[in-house]
Amino acid sequence: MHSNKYLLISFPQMLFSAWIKEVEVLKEEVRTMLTSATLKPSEKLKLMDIVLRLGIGYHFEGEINDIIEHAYNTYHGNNFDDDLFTVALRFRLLRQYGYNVSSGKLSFFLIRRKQKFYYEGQHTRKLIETNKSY
Amino acid sequence: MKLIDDVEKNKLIDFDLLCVLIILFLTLCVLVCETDIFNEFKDGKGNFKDNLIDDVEGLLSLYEASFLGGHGEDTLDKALSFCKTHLESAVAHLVSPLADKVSHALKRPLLKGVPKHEQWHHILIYQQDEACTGAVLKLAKLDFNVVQKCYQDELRIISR
Repeated sequence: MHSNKYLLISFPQMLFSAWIKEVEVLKEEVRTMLTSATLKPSEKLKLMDIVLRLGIGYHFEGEINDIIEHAYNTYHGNNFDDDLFTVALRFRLLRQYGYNVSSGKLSFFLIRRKQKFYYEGQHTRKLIETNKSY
Repeated sequence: MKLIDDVEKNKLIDFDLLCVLIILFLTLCVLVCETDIFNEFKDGKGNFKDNLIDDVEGLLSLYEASFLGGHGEDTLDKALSFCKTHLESAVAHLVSPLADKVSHALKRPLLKGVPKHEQWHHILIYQQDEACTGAVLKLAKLDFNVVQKCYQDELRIISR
C-alpha cells in the first residue's frame, strides 16, 4: 500500500492562484511570439517544436494549427535555402500532425480536412474525431 | 478514381478490397511525398552526403524525423542508421546542452517517449540553451507545477 502522506501536505491556495494568474500573462506573451509576423516560418516551426516539447502546446492549439497549415501549404514550394535541420523538422511536424498522405496528385483522398492520420499519444481527442468522421 | 467510382456504382468489389486499394494508393502517395524532400542531402548513389556529419543539430532533427516513416520507406530507414551511427560517434566530444540532447534522443527518441514524462527533461535542456526565451521557459515551469498540483488534488479525492 502506498503512503499518501505527500498528498496531505497543505498547499497555500493563495500561491496557487498567483501561479494561475501568471500563467495567463505568460500565455499571452508566448502567443504573441507564435503569431509574430517578423519571425520566419522556419523560426516559427522551431519555436513550435520547443513549445510542444515543453508540454505547453495545449494552450496554443489554434496558433499551432495555423503554423502547421502554413508549413503544409508551402511544402511543395522550392525551399532550397533550407538546411537539413529545417527540412527534417518540417517533415516530422507535418507527419506528426497527419499531413503525411497529402501529395498533390492524390489529394482527392482528403475530401475533408479532418480525415488526417494522427499519431497515438499526441492528440487522443482528435483521433476520436477522426474516427468519427469515417 | 474512375475505378473507385465504378466500384461504388456497380458494387463489383466488396468494401474490404476497396479499403486495401485505398491503403495501397495512400502508401504509394507517402512514398512519392517522402522521397523528394531529402534528395538534396543525398549523393548520386542515394546515400546521405558525408558533409552532413558535422551538422549535429541537423542530424538530430533527421534522426527524430526518421521514426515517422512507414514500411518500405528506404530513405527514412537509411536516414535512421546514418544518423544513429554518426550521432553515437559524435556524442563523446560534444558539449552540454547539445550532448545531453543527443544522448537522451539516442536513448529515447521523441516519438517513443511519454510526453508528460519527458517534459521536465526538455525544460532542463531548454534552460541551458543560448536561444532560450524567458517567457517560454517560465510558462513551461509554472504550467508543469500547476498541472502537477491538479493531478495531486484529483489523486487526493479518489484515494479518500
